[in-house]
Amino acid sequence: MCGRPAIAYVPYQRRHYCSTHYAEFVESKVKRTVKRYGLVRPGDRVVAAVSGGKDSATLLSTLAALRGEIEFDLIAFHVDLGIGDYSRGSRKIVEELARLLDVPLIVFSLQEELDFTIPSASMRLRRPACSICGAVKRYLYNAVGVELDAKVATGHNADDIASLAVKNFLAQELDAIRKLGPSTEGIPGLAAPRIRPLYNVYERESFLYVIAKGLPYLHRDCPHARFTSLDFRVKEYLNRLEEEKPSLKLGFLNKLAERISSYPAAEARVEGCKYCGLLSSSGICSLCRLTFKLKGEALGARVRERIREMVRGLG
Amino acid sequence: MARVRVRILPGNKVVSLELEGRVTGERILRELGLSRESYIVLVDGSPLPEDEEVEGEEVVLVRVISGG
Repeated sequence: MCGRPAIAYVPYQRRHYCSTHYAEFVESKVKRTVKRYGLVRPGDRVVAAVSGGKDSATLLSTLAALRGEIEFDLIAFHVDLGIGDYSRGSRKIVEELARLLDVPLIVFSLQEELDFTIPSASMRLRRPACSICGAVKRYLYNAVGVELDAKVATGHNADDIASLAVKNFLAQELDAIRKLGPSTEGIPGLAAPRIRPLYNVYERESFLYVIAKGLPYLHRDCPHARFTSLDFRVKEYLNRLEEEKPSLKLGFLNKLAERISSYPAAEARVEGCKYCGLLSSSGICSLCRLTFKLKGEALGARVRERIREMVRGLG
Repeated sequence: MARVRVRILPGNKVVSLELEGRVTGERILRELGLSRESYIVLVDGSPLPEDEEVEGEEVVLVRVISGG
């Protein structure tokens, strides 16, 4: 009890927190996750994928706070997706956040670098925007990780991971569950290692953290997000269970992390894309395939060259 | 009997509730059939723990979970 007004109650601890202590509570959760699973070690280089939403703001801020304890390089990476006002707002917020936290930032604009946007690609290819967006972001995060020889940190929170695990279990896609641990190993030259420092941070904790710290974050949902999706409904369902049994989601994720290697690994072939050399399961990576359809040429190699130039620009 | 105006975000839906006794964020959420874990309660723009009494006539509930 510090005497300041409480902003949050944490049911699984039966404790109230003021804003200062709440921010410390979330930072210490991230620190414990990072140390417990060896996510960041001295001398590492970490690229944080930052969209401007609450989770990536929490990711960048908690990792920035960790620099005082573990000596590592932290770089923020943002993809400007070209989704109208939503993307303009996101970019502005990420730039402000990186400045505030003193983290170098790389911005990759699809329109400026590849002459397409997520909506234009979706319309042209008649594919859902979310599927194109996911494929493009996965490629770019991986590319920047490989070019920088860095671990890629994403803002997946406990609710994202728990709901994905349940969803994959329902579909019996057990090899997809194997990728839902606190980290995923890389493949030299093909795939950068992934880390999920918010593995034990609930979505509501991430939301309250950005408020407690007064961090800028994008309040709007992506106009393409669908709140009737199975992801959303599974999250709602797990939250009802969490209400009845506080810490249920944490217990589930800790067990999942312990047993992650008992899930089967995907049997897909892994090789370098014949155009750009990055990870592919069929000889041509998703970005080269996409840009070939959109622009008549595979642009992965050009993307990698541009990212190398951007990295050199950081000094 | 306390009268509370509740704004639910996103969507900006406004609901008026009349409740007897101690009014907490948790009680408002329960009344509306919403999960305590999926929303945060704001009073005068600041978060309020769900078990604390709501003072004032307007409460904002912000959904904190996102969907794909």
